[in-house]
Amino acid sequence: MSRDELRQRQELVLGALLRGEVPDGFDPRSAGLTVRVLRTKRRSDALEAVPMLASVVHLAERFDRWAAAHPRTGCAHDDVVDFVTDDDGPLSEPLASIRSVERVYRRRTRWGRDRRPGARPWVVATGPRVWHLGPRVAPTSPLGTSALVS
Amino acid sequence: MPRSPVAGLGVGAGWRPSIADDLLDLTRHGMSFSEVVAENVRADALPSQLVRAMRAGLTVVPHGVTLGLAGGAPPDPARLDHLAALATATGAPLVSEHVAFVRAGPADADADALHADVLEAGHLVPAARTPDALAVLVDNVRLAQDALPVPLALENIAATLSWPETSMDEAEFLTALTEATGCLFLLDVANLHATCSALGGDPRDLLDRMPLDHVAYVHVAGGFTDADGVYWDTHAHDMTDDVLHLLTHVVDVLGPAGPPVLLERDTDVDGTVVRAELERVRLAVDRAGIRT
Repeated sequence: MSRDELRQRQELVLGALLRGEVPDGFDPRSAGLTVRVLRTKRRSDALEAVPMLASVVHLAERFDRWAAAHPRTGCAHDDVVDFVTDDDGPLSEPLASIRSVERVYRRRTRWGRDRRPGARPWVVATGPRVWHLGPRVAPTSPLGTSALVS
Repeated sequence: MPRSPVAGLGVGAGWRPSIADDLLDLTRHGMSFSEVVAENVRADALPSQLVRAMRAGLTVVPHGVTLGLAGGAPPDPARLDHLAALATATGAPLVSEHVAFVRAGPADADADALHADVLEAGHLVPAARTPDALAVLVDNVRLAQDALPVPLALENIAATLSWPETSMDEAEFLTALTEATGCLFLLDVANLHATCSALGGDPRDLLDRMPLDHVAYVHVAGGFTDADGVYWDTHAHDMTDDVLHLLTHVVDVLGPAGPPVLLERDTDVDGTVVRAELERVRLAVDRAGIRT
């Protein structure tokens, strides 16, 4: 078996495992354990990169379902942004705003709402440009807003 | 005469940013061995606490996790350069990596680690153990050795995957690898336990046939055994008694003042946890009658 043949064989097997499938000829138990390891590791990496992901209800189920259909091509941060953009389930802030804005930048939608403190609330795509419009939402602070403008 | 370039350095813990101050304090109280995950630090900007610990006498081994030496592609020159630069910056007597592949994809994608067609496993995946796969691995290890200024040690991973074409067991494969390349062996006791737990086999029987004369140092880590009896090597839990007993056996076999033992703890880690777990490692080592 040459390098290229080894590479192709590994690509075939890894691709199946990342999709959550048992590669042809493999023992289903060992493949199943490996699918579980790969899913858990990818989700753990995402959580480590963006700890607020822990606030997502049913995260394991939602993230793993998304991950099975989207092989990893970037870093863990990319995974988090791609996941919240693609996922349709409920998200709390600021993840909900990140999803809304990202969908506009990716032209999945024409407009979105950004409810993050300090952000302009409306995000609109026109042609090649994306506009952030409206008065900025005042940041909240335990010190009060006056402390932020003094 | 032990082959390990770090023999006699006792018991240490892997360097992690969240416990940097504790590891510096432990170093000032006698700890002399550690390891840093190569992908998490820059050679030209080492963390200040790590530098202070090195000045206080800590030997640090750069430990890579993304070379994928058991993959079909040759090791990425940029990753090798990084590992080599880290070895120089830390004054390390060796560097370490794994017998695993971590990505797969088309040949023309090798130059770009984030190429859209490259599948990133995000984890260490065992390759099939065949003579052909061994030949590619040996070639990759030699390429790595040529690019590194210090010896390379390779670690047995926690494997859950059994390839249908595998024709050699892990001990035969690792022995052939060390004999062909002269590389050192990083023996991970928790991984050995995990592999046997998931795929069957007796860890002590496997251990006896491993290339023990090539052991540079020993890894130990925490995990848990699930309801189905499968051990998960999480690096996030305390060590199990099974793993600690196996560690005692390993130290017994390797002999006194031999390869050091390094605790890996990645998650749910703080100074208190690491100090307590290090004490358990020392007790397990002492049970073998070895002075640390």
